[in-house]
Amino acid sequence: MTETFFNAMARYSWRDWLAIVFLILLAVFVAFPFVWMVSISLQPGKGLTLPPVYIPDELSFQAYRDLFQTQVPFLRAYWNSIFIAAMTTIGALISSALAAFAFSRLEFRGRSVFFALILMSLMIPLSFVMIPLFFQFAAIGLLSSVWALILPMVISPLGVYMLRQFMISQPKEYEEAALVEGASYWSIFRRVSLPEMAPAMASLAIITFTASWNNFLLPLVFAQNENQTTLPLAIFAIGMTGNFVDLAVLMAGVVLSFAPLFIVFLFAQRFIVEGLTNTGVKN
Amino acid sequence: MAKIELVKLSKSYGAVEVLRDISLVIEDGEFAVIVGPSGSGKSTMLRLFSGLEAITGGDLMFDGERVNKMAPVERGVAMVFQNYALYPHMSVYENIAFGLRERREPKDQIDAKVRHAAQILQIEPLLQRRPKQLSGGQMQRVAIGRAIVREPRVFLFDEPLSNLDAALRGQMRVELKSLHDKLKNTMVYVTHDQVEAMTMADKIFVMNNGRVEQSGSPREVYSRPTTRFVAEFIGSPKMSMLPCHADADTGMLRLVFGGDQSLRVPATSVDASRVATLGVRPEDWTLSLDGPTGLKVQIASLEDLGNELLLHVSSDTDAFTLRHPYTDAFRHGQQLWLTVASEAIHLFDAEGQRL
Repeated sequence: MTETFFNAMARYSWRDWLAIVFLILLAVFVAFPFVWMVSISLQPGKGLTLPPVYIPDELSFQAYRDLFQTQVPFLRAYWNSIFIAAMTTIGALISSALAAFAFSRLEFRGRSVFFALILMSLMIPLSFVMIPLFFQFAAIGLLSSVWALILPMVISPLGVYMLRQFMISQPKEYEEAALVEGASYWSIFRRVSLPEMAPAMASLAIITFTASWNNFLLPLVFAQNENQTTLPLAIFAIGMTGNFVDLAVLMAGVVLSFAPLFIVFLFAQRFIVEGLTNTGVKN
Repeated sequence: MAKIELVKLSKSYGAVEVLRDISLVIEDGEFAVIVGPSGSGKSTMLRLFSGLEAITGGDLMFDGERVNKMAPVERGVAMVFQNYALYPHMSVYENIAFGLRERREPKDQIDAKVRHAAQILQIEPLLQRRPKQLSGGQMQRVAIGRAIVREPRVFLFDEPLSNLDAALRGQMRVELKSLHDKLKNTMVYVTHDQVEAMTMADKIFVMNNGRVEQSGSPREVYSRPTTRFVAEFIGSPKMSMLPCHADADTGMLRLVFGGDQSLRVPATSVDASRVATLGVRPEDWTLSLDGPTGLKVQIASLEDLGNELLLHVSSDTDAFTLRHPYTDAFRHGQQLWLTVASEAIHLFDAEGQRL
């Protein structure tokens, strides 16, 4: 056993060891705030102490219980976040896939110009268009609806770009074969291109879901009532409630909002990497 | 089945003209092979037949009907692609049934057609597999199956054997030809491989630089190439091409090569002043170890193919290849004297046109 261990060690050069040590340090550096966050959430009433206590003597889940007793409708925010992120993801997948199909497989006048416009919109931050969007949704009477937090994010220039790049790396003979066999464009999209795009769509789904889940600015500006409160807003509200901030309760909220993404990332990181590396690579 | 007629057909991409004024006829039920080097326009021509590319000039007729503006499906064509284009997420069965489902044919009819095609192509045990579980040859058969079930008027094949190994290519050539004998459909087959063209075609169209250089039966194209390009492209090893000029010499034609060598061939009705190149197939040379009659060459290297020899020879100015039934009489560095029978000579003018 020891021999095997040393044999395995001997395979690495000092450069490898240097890289391994660097990566371990980097991982610790990145993981540290998360570990501390969980640690604080398990020490109710203590707040920040100096020196910090990373591993509590006694574990308490009281902060998690208290979280649901605050004036902030945390459960409602949780459900809203799930609904908004899911709807945004579904919408972004559908719109991006349709646009990517058109930009990669259909010939039409102005195709390059339209695609360039979409790429240009990637460079405009959401905060730039926030006010016009606000008035637009107010005008159509959707401002107090949960859809005001979904619809602005449904059209995803990044999604169009990602899927389009993925599609142009795939042989177009699939669609041509279907066309010769008498399939309509809709049928080609649904039966041939959509399954073809599946790997890239999986990574887009994760990216979109995460972005929507973490979105703070849009709900902050748009949300008018409890029905539109999302997790980032709820956590923000907990932090702002009263004179005293129970850090453990706040961190419990953060841990619960972070948990679903952590689980998704754990299982789907392969898709994210694949999706991002596949796009733009032409066979 | 359909007779295909092209009348001054052209295709341009902006200012780039890919096909120029092509007029030809492919008869009903014919196995036509379009052969040519990369970039000659042969695949573009097939895509114009299929409707995947728009025609920019001239007419394309199927059975006398102009199909220029028709959608691919209205033309009644089926196409087999070079990379097979089998839908990776569908089973073999679903791949073959795809076009029939699009036509909304009854399920039992689809099933019968798929199974019949699978039986013809001997792929019945593969019907539930996914394309990635198939070998190249099996994928090829599935792609052909997908074409067969639609009972098209015209089959289009775009270099369908180019991804297969040599042995499988040979086998599939025979199978495709026998499939044609069985179905008797019009088939248009594009390839850059002149062996495929020679072995499979009823009629060959040799393309070069966006034009059809010559069309005819394989025998005709091989034995009487109308241009120097065709002469060199068809046949392996390629035809020897020896630059020369000619003098009429008492009923004979004296071909004078570089280095003052000459060869006397029986005179034909050729205008001696226009002769620029002598072409001879590698197997048409008569070899002699004893001079001095004929064109003197030296053996630069030999390739023993078992039943025959390929002799790479060089004269004072040219290097070319000869083919000879196997013998152990030849050695590297030996001198040979070559002569050629009058019916085996091909003379071309300075523009590469046959004289």
